Amino acid sequence: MRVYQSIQDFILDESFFRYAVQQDPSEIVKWESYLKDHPEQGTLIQRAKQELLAMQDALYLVDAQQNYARLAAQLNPPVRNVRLKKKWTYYAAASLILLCLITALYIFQYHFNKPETTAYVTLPAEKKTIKLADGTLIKLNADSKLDVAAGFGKTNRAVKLVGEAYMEVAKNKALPFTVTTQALQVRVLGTTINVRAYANEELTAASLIEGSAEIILKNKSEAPILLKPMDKVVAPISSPQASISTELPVHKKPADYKLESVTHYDAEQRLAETSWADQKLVFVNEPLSSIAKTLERWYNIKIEFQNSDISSRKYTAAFDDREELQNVLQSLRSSLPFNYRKIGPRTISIYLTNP
Amino acid sequence: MSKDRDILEIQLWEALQSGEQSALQQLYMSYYKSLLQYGMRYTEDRDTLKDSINNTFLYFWEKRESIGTANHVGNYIFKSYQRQLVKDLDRTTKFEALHESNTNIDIADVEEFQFIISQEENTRVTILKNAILQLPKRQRELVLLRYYEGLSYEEITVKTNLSKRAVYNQIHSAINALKKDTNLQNLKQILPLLILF
Repeated sequence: MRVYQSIQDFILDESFFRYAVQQDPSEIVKWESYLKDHPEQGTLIQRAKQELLAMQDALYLVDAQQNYARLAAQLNPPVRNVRLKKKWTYYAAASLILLCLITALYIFQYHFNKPETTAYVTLPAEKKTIKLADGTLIKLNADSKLDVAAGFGKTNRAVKLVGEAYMEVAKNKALPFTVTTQALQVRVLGTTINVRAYANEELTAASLIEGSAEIILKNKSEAPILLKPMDKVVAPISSPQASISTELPVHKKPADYKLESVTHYDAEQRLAETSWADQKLVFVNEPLSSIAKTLERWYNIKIEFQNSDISSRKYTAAFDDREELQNVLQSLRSSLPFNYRKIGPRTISIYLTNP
Repeated sequence: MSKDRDILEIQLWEALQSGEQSALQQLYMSYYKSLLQYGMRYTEDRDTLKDSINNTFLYFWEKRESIGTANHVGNYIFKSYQRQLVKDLDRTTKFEALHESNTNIDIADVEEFQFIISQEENTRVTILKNAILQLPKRQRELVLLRYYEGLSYEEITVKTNLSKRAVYNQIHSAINALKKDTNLQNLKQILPLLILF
């Protein structure tokens, strides 16, 4: 018999394969006696066996994936539109009715002089890049809505935001650009700014990358907060609870917002706040509950916590936004362990590892 | 048989009935191995078995609105697969013994072929799968012949017209690449966390 020194030596051996995978009776006898003669190789043999079995499962998956591709091609045969020609009269009638409706709607709108806003909406797991009439470039993050007011670029430059947007605002001294969210209003002349105001999050944040900006908190009557580049304002969305910040020497009154600096997350000084606009998922010392909300939006899933004490644990990590969800969860749990499992087609439950 | 898995599969089945293709794919991926192994009892012809598996799932998809709710998804899949197998093997007339044997499958039979992999194992296997898919085409083919179809080096030599030395060397470097690749991927998962500390 030849000499076996490494896992690979075993994996490459035909006789070992017949023993570990095919469970050939004569090979079992042979390898059991080999083990008796070389008890020191017990763990090596065990690991080689595990590797071979894992490889079997992996190969079944490879084969399944290749074979499924053939099936997938058969699943949705293209729908032919034969009926369309036969029933053209119906379609003609339908379009006539539609035309009447549109006219009626137009007249209605004209008479009541409703301002027409343009809405841009992103679904979960979707991002959009929008160029507005004044040349402003906007990247809209997943599950967000941006309303652009009527007359934008002519009489005003006002937008409304629910969700998150990264904005490179074109310069125009005559018309200030304003972003209104549930809790605050941002006024800028020409600048790059990231505003995060999701309805299902407790905090809203505005991070100034360059230029200058004024922030007006809606539930405060005090003077606007003036932002310098790399400043970040974080404010609660609903109840004005006093989370008094010690980092605020400028303002006399205790404020319920915080003035922070934006966070650099890597050696190249890239910013965590705008990382999503560069196809990255970055979390810096962020509680799992808030990470979960981002993942829900990004992968279009629901995440449930079985124990609330896990959701407050803080994690730091960076991923490419095309990383598979499973890999993201795996690497998070490798720093502070938790368990997760799928409990529905698009629902994941996170629970604590039993001590 | 775990309860969780039963519940998950019933949810998947309902999602499939409502037209979610990803549910069909998930069930397909998790039953593929057991169905193929079950079929190997009756024929060595993998291509016919693969076609039968696809026909079974195609049937589920096309009849998704009329097929009933399954109390035991695995049982239902196996029974449908067996019917399909009888039909397909009959057509190819490659097999006779199936008719002689009892064509009823009982639950114990089904469970013998179901395999449950834990989450950790599952990840390891997925990493390995991705690594295999990234091997050069020739190496991947040889790995499949050697470790999936279980052919010996000698048999592969005959089948591929390569020298035995070449076959062995290619598989050897494939195994080394897989080892390196899977280790690297484990590292890649931890790396982002290290950057900041």
